[in-house]
Amino acid sequence: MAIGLAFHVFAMGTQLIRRASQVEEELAARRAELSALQAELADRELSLTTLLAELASFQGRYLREVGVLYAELDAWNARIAELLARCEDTEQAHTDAAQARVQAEQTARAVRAETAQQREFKPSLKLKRLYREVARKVHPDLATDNTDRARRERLMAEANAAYQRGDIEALQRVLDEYESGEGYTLLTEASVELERVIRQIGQIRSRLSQIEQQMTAFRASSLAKLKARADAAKSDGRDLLAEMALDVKGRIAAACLRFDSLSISDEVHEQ
Amino acid sequence: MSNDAPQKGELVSTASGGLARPEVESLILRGLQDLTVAAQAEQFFSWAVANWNARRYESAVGLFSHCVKCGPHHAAAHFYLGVAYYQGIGVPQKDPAQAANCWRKAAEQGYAQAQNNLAGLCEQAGSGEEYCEAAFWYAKAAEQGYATAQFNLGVLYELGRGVPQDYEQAAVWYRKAAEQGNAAAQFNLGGMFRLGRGVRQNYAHAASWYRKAAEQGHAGAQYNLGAMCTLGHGMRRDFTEAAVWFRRAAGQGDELAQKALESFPAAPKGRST
Repeated sequence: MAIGLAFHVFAMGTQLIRRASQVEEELAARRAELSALQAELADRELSLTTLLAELASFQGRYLREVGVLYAELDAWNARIAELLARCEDTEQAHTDAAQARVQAEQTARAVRAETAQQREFKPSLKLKRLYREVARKVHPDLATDNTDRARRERLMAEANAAYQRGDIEALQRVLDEYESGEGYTLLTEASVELERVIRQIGQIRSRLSQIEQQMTAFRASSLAKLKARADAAKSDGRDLLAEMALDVKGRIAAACLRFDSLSISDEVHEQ
Repeated sequence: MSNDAPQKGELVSTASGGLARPEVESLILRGLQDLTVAAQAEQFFSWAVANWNARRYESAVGLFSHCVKCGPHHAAAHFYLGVAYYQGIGVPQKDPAQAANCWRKAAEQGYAQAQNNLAGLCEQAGSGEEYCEAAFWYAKAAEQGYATAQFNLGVLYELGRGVPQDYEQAAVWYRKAAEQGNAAAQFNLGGMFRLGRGVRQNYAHAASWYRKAAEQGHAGAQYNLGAMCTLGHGMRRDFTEAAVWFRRAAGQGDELAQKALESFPAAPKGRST
C-alpha cells in the first residue's frame, strides 16, 4: 500500500513535471513566434504610416500648387456666370451663376486649410528605426486587458502623429513614457502566460491582415493614383503638378480675357 | 497590384475619409479627370493635324471636333476649326459666323492668331460696336507681340475705328510690327514719317522704311520709293533707281507705277543732278 502510494505520488509527480515542461516548451516557441510577429507588425505599421504620411504630404503639395489655382479659376468662372446672369437675366443664367458660386466656394474651402502645410515627407533612417521599436513594444494588439489597450492605443496614436511630423523627440517621449509604465508585470503561471501569448499572436495576425487591406485601399484611392502618375512623370524628369498648374493658369488667363471681353460688350450695350 | 478594386466599401470610405475631406477628394478627382481629358484631346489633335497636313480636310475637321469635345480648352483645335469654316474646307460650305465662334473660343484661351482673325471678322462686319470689339482683340494679340495684329491695331488707330483716332499710337504699333519685318507696317510707318503723322516728319526715315517694305516685294512701297527717288526726298535724286522700283511695282500690276513709267520713255542712262 505504502509502496503503491509512493509509486502513485511518484507517477503523478513525473506527470506534473512533464506537463509543465511541455507548457514551457510551447510557451517558448510561441514567444519566439510572437517576437517575430511583433517585428513584422512593426515593419508593416511603419509602411502603412509612411504611406499615409507620403499621401498626406502629396495632397498638401497638390492643393497648394494646383488646388489654389482651381480655386482662382472657379472664382473667375463664378464672376463670369454672374456677369452673364446680369446681362441675359434669364432663369437659366441665374441658376448657372448660383451653381458657379457654390462650386467656387467649395473649391475655396478645399484649399483653405492647406496653405501652411508640411514639406515633402522624407523620414530619416533613425526616425524609422525608432518608430519600429515603438510599434514593436507599444502596439495595442499586445494589450493584455482593456486598460492596457486604451493606454497603448493612445501612445500608438501619438507615435503615428510624431512620425508623420518627422518629430523624433516626440517619438522618443512616447517610448520613454511606455517604458516607465512597464516593470510591474507580475510573474504568472506558464499556462496563463501561454494563453496570453496565443491571444496576442491572434490579435497581431488579424491586425496584419487589416493593414494589408488598408494599404490596398489607400493605394486604390484617387489621391494615390494621382501621386503614382506624378511619381512616374518624375522618373521621366517631368514635374506633373507644375504641368497641371500651368494648364490651369492658362485657363485662368482665358477666364480673365472672357470676363474682360464680356465687360466690354456689356459697356457697349449700356452706352 | 492585382487587387486594385476596393474590397469593402466601408474600408475604402474610412480609409480615404481619414485623409481627404469630400471637397478635397472632389478636387483630386478633378485633377485626374483633367489629366485624362487633356491626354485624349492631345491625341485627337495630333491625328487631326496629320490629316490636315495631308489635305484630308474632312477627317481633320472631324478629329478637331472630337478634340474640342473632350478638351474644350484646346485653343489650337478651335483655331483650325475656325480656319476650316472660314475657308469652307472640310465643311459643307463657308460659314463665317461659325468661324467667329471657333476663333472666339481660341481667342479667349489667349491664342494670338485667333484673336487677330476674330478681330478681322469683327472689323469686316464694320459697325461701331464691332469696331470696338475688333480693337479689343487686335490689342490682345498685339500685346502678345503678334506682328499682324500690331499692324491691324495701328490701322484702327490711324483711322479712328473702334478707338479714338490717335496717330501717335498708330505709329507706335506700326513700328513694333515693322521692326518684326511686317512689310505692310513698314509701308504705313514710312507713310507716317513722310506725312509727319504721330512722328516728326522725316523723309530719310520714310524712304528707309519704304525701302525695307519694297525689298520684301510690297508694290505700294516700291512705287513710293520710286517716287521718293524721283523727287529726291530723303535720298539723292536718282532716276535710274526710281525706274528700277517703278518697274518692279508695275510688274505687280501697280497702276500708278505703270503711269509713272510712261513719263520715263526710256530708262535714262545718265543721271540728272
